[in-house]
Amino acid sequence: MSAEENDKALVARARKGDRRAFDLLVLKYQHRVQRLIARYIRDPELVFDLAQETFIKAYRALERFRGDSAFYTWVYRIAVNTAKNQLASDARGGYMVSLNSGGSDESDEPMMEPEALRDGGTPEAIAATEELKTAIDRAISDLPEDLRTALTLREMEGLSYDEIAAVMDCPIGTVRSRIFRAREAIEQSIEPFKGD
Amino acid sequence: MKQRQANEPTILRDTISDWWDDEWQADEREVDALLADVDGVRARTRSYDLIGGRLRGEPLATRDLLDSINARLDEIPDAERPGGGKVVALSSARNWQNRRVWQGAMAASLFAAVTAVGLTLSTGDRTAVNGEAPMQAEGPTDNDRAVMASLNAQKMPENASPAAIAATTQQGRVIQASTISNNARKLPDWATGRSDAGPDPYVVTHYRMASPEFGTTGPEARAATFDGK
Repeated sequence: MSAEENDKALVARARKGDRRAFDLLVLKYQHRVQRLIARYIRDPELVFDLAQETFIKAYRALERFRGDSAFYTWVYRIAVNTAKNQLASDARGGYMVSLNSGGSDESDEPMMEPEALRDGGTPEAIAATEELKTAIDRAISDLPEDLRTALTLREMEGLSYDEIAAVMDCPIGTVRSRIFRAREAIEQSIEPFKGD
Repeated sequence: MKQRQANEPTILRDTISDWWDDEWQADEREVDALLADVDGVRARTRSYDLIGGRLRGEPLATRDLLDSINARLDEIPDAERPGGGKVVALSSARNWQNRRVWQGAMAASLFAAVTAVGLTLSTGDRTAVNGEAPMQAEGPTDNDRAVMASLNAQKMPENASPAAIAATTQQGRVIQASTISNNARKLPDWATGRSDAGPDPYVVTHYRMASPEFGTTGPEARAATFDGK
């Protein structure tokens, strides 16, 4: 199954009433959705609320998801519309805002960098985030070269396992293993700093 | 946490990594394995998101919203949930149990049907056993003979009109179905009772299927049907 098919299989199960399947979809996309909304909304708490709202709307509308597009495309569209509705609502209330005009949801340029989620707000949160960043940087630099290269090509360049295999001149199974082992090693190093 | 991680099967953690990267060639069994350990998936995906986010220079202060989302989903009325609030069985044992109940019900129905057919064949009308319908029984029954005697007793004059038949017969009445003059009407012999052929053979053979009243009023009614022939 492709990524889209994997998601659609989970959607199909969620439609039949399996909430755990929807849990997996939330786990996979919740952080990306928050960063997307943070491009429109400055208040971190409001970002979390709207991300939550996005998934609630998606869950309620699951029966209407026809599968013409990928699940994440559909969820992103809901997230953008939810953020824009919030901006429009704020504007009507006289609080804000320079809302992007024209174009479809997909073609609108994001309003800003997602600064709302940059440091977590409070001094304690900022300090914790800095510690976490340092721990991740250190763990990455400690990785063996082949693991670090595979992980970097995946996360920074967005290459598929096939493409990484071609770049590193190794079997795709090796790529799969290297990326997994890199993540395992980093995870162990950052565990004390993860919070949440 | 480390204890938990150490106890987790490596194959599942490997699967989560592939799934996160959209490089997962899943079968149903692997999907079931992931669904059975949502907490494990949750811990892994948080780490993977932090690692990827840091490498891409993205903000890291996202929040795990699963609990709050689930709390709100719990408030949604069953009727508004996907699947109409159906609950999916968490184990295959439940499905197996349901399947056995259905199989039992179907077996009981089949047994009851076979028993009913068997009883009918062993205790029912002998003519049915011989492959004949009751209306095809050999020779007239006592009831047949009584009806025929009643009909033959009412002799009709030649060329009798329906009105005359109605006046003569003791039961029923003629339905005036044609405007053709009485003289032009020629009724079948069995309808007038003029010949020795007896009453309408259709009535004789079928009246037992209907009410006795219908059987005795049949010839008069059929006289109108054959009106003009």
